[in-house]
Amino acid sequence: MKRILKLMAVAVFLLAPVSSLYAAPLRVRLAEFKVTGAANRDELRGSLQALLASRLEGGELQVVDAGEKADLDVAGTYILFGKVFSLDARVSSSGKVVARAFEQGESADDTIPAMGRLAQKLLQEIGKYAAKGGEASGAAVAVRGVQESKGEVIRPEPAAAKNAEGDIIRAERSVRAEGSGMIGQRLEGDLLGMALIRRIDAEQREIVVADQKEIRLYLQGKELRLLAAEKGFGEDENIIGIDSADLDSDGTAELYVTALRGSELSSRVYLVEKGGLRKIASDLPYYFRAITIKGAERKVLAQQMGRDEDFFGDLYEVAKKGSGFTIVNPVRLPRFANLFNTNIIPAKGGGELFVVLHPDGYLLVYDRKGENLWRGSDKFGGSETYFHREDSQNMRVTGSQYRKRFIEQRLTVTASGEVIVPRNEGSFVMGNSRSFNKSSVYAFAWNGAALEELWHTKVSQNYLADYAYDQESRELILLEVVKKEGLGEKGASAIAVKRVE
Amino acid sequence: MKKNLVVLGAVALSAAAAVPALALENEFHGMYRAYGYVSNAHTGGGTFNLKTDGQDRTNSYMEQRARLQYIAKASDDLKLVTHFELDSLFGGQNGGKYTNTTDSGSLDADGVTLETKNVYLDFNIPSAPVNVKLGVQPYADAYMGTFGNFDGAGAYATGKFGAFTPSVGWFRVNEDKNLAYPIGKLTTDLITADVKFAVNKDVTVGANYIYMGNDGRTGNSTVADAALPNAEKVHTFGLNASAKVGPAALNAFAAYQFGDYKDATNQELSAYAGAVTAKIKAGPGNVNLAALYLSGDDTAPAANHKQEGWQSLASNGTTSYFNAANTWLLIRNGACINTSASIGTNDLTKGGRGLMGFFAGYEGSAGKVFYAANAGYAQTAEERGNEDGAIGTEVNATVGYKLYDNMSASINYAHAFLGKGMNSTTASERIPGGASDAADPYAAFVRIDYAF
Repeated sequence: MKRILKLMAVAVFLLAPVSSLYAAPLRVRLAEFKVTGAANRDELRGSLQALLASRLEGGELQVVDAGEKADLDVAGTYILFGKVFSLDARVSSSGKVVARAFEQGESADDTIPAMGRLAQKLLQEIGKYAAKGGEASGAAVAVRGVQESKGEVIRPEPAAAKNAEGDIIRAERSVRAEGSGMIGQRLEGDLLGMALIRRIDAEQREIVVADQKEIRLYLQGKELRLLAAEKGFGEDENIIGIDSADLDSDGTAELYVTALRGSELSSRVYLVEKGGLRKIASDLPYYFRAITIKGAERKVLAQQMGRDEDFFGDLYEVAKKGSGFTIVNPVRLPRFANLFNTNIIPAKGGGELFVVLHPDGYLLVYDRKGENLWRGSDKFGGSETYFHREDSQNMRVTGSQYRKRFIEQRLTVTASGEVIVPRNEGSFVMGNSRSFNKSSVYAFAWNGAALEELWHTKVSQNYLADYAYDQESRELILLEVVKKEGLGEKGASAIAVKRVE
Repeated sequence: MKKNLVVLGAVALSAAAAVPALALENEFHGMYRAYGYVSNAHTGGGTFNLKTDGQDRTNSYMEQRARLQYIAKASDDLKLVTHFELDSLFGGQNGGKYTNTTDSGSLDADGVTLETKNVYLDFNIPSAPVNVKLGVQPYADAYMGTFGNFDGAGAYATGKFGAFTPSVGWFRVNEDKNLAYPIGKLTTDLITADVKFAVNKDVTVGANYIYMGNDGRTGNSTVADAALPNAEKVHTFGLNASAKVGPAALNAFAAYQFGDYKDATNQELSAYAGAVTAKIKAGPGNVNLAALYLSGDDTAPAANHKQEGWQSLASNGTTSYFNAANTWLLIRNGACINTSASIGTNDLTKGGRGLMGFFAGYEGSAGKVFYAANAGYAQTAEERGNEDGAIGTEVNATVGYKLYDNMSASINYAHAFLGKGMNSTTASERIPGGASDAADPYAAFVRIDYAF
């Protein structure tokens, strides 16, 4: 009998923690980390937050999103001095600090293990707090360790665990997304350009994508349906960009294809009609880029190529007259600006300013006289798209008969004056060798003195080749390269749609 | 208190270490190129040896070149450009510039290989649209390299005033260190002035002047420098143009030289040169055409004789190019590395006889495959005595594959049919560099390129 009682006592002791699993979990809200002294601060803020969240999440704790009610708030900081870092966390309830914990390490390699240790400490502290009856929901919380099965592998959170607030991280605020927004459909090829043709309804739109030799028209809904493809580009012809507009306002969008034949411009214009593409002009000596002025007027701008200069002279507006195209209204560009790295934003108090992406990736703002008003300190842009120019005069120095000229990521200005700019990053980016493998999209607003960040998307593990912004639905349509072309291997791309809340 | 100060100092040091050392933007570029040659003329040492027919020998070797460029940008208006070169012959070599060591191609690779290509400061003048480059920098003449494309120590300023792009420069390319004379006395200097005007997007015209003063030719020099020019003072004026006409991209120049040829009695100089090149869209690729004329003299330099042979900066042709030829044997190719030699040396002037050449080719690509085929003919512009000026005719072909975006591999073959001036069995009919009954030279080679 004694033995039976002993066994029962042991069973009760062992099962006690299990019973807690059926209790209501504590709801914990995790803020973005504050990061000091480290490069890539923006990226780290969200990454560290995600690391800690995945280690706290479990039967006893439920990590909730920024907008939801929570029993506890956790704020973390990451401070780097030389190679030594410290992870500090503070747990508060109704503004009152109820627990603190920290962990430190001596190299970046130790960051993830340290985060695991920090999570374990926090769980213990939160357990103590809950055991005291605290101000929490009264749920019993058992102290547990970080699940061994997770190890150091950070698994992407399933889409079901995320709410549908959008995929945008507001400055100083984390907003989770409904997945990555990516349409799970591989598009063949390393695509390099995209253009939004028209919005059909709330669920569907027509988009065009392009690689170096081909243009494809898709109906984009929850999946992509190929409507038409144009492959009539020769072996020495290369597309470097596509843009769309309806310049003659006839209800049919034109597709402006910037292409080179050899080292010379040989661009084309197509009409996108009846679910197909019809060529209406070819061998045009212009680079094209479409921009929206003040959120309404869609214009196509053009620039020409010189004998020595890749981008010759002023910027022009393209005018469509019948089936012909001319360039009108020249605009003098400021320093570092060319058609592909420039847009126009409204100035405070009227007038317009140029926003320019510097060749090194810094955002610049100029007035119409060309005076530089502001220069950012973070790098943006980054494109793998380039064209060749004959350069045999410098062959002795460069070793090549041709030189590469990269074109820059498009800058978009929204109806409300926000400046949208992508950022590509990569480990294999040096000189003229570019292979980006991470991307995000940022938005800024001009406050009269500087560009201030409004939001940015979470980092994607893919190179962003191009994007479009749907003003009406406030959605970003992102063209991401999910598989780079390799030796004997074809590349693949995908479309992601992210809503800007 | 002292302990506190020590702690504070340590904290300050740690904080300083955490801050980036300098606010510099670092930019790196580089290239790697390797050739594997089988040739009866190229030797891997930069010489071109014609072999008598029947004594034909086949050389086979590999060589490589890497270049690394580091640019330290302090701001948009100031940067330091450094550029280095590393050459190696597989198996190593110890001649020429490797007198005291081998290159790194020998066993254990311990040779001294690193060479300076460029080191210069590149800055903009505040509040003026003028850029200045100061130091050892690349220079390309406006005569398609027939006078001199080189890396040299000097200063070069370029302005940008609307459609006008003027520039002026000074280079000191030789300094005789004979201590009997003050430093700066026996020098070879270049002064250049250039202006380009973009008429519109399709037409650019330019004018150019180069003065070369060669004090080392006064007879006082004790330095035997093969790179010294033959002339003492040369003024070169030229006009050039670049235009896009329909499917063709055209480039042309014409230039006239005058001055004092050598230090001997009354040897004046009067020479001229011209070239035109065209790249014409045709089918899936381009047709390349080029013609070159450098004036020559049918009489060897002598007292009281006006020399009419075009002068290059370096008399041995070290710094002379004509890349539009797209040849490998008649005129060295711009893509050559250590094997940078051609029939009868790289001296385009052929010892003052001048040169006349016609070249044609086609290049294209199909997906990742690229190809080219070229042909060219060259002869001296003038013949001396019984000489026959025919140098030869070259045909060459290339087929390559783009392995990665920045890397390609190709196989190439070039064959020259020698003219009588290069292989006549009669010595008086041959021009310098020729050999009696010489076999037609060829070169078959694989090439690997990587650039970033």
